[in-house]
Amino acid sequence: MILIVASRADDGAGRLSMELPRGSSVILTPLDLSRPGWRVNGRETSDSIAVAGGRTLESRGITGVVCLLPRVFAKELGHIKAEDRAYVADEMTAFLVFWLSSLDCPKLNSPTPGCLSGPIWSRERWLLEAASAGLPVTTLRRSTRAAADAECSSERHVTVTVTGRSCLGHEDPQLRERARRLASAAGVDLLSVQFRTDDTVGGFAGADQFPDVSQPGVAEAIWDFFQDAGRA
Amino acid sequence: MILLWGVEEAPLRLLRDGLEEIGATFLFLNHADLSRVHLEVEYSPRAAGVLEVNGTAYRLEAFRSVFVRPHDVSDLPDFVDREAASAGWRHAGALQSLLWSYADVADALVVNRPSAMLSNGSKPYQSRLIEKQGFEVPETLLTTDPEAVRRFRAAHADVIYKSISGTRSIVSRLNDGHDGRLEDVRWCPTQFQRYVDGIDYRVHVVGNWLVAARILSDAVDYRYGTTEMERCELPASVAGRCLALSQALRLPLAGIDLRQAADGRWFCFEVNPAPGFSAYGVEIGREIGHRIARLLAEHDERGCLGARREGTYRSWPK
Repeated sequence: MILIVASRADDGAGRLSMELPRGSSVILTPLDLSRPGWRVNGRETSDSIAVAGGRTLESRGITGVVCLLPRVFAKELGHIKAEDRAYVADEMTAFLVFWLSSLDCPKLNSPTPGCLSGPIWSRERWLLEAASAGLPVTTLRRSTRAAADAECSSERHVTVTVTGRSCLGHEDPQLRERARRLASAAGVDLLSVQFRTDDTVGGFAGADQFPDVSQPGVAEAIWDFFQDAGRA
Repeated sequence: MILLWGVEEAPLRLLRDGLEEIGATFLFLNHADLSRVHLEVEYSPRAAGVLEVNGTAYRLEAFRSVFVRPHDVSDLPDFVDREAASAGWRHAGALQSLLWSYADVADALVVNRPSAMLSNGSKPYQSRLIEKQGFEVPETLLTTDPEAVRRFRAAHADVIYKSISGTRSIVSRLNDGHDGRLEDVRWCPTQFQRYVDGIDYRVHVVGNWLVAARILSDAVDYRYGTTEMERCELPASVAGRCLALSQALRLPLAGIDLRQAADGRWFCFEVNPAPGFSAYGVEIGREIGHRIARLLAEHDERGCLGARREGTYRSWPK
């Protein structure tokens, strides 16, 4: 069973689930963390019981995870008393970081402290990592005086989305190779990488580990990723 | 040069004292008063830029050591009653965001890097890293199932509960009086642990040095009870594990909570990446402040060897 962790408001998660083979996936939303049935042993997690899509499932039956949420947001917890929402959101996030990281299955992407899917990197850190991975980069200017920060809004980009060994989006093999290299450096298997198309063609412009999974071909690539991982 | 980023509170005062004692040059960036602070950084990809404080400009590259102990802007007295959309709030938020990003990638010794501090945001996640260094971690249950809590308590007799996230909570013992409230766990996964009877130790690691305090308390959570603290020596193997743990977590400064159980086993509950080290006695607090000062200053000196020092140096504002 593939577990899709997503916001209740994420239509893309629903479409992804519909495109995967019937009965092969279930969506876990923050509402599932407010349902009785969760039982996780902090030291031995293989026999955990989870709740997803309103029903309980054994964690050993989870064969893959697609996480489309960076964290649990308080605004999604309308069923919790307003004054408790921020605290509960922090608790749920901390719980998911632990539980998802403990699952012994392939993940898109593995959680890290601070983010449920991949690293929580600033634009600055992505730039540094892109440069280290050999991608051409241009200077990023940040300032508390607003003008410098606004300068990249007019840049034109193309996007490559990495899903495991597959790449979707722009077809330039060089850009695809660069996107793969950055995903590898970030330790993720699901990543959209934007490249500049103006002054520095093919230069790194940004990265996002939460691509639109409802775009054509992504569901198939995700399915292939888990099939390949299962065979490995 | 050394950059201190935080608010005026006891740990930073002790660090300031340590820096002044050894004659180090530093700039204190008061997080509670950022109105006349500006930051401009260029990443190409290494960080270079200017930090402007009250009209004086400092080259960012001149900061070879950085100490970070910030608070969330919304918690600072000057901002609690201000509109979040106000110019002051937006400026403070933007500055915090830029400084936070800079501290994570700066080509300097940073005590501690923001990304390294994050493991404390999920206690059970951090516990798995702690176990890898050879410390014991108590049996733990995370659940939304009241019946599972009752069974866990029946199995372990004495059980505590505490937050899962880095949000500070008072560690409390579960008792019969809680039974009616157990239904509340349905709303959010809650963490329960077997209570370990024993003696608490707080270990502070600074670089390759550490100091331990034995804590005698009448409370389950010693931070909220009557306590006595005394400096002590740890067995060499335990001290070694503490150093290895702080290194594994990439924390040059760490506050490690240990308990030695009656059977002699050493449990570790948590590693605090921004420890309030001033709360562990005058002598210990002073020495930790001094050690952090030396760590920062030694790196500053090493980083500046062969390079011309830039910027205007300024001491801590009195």
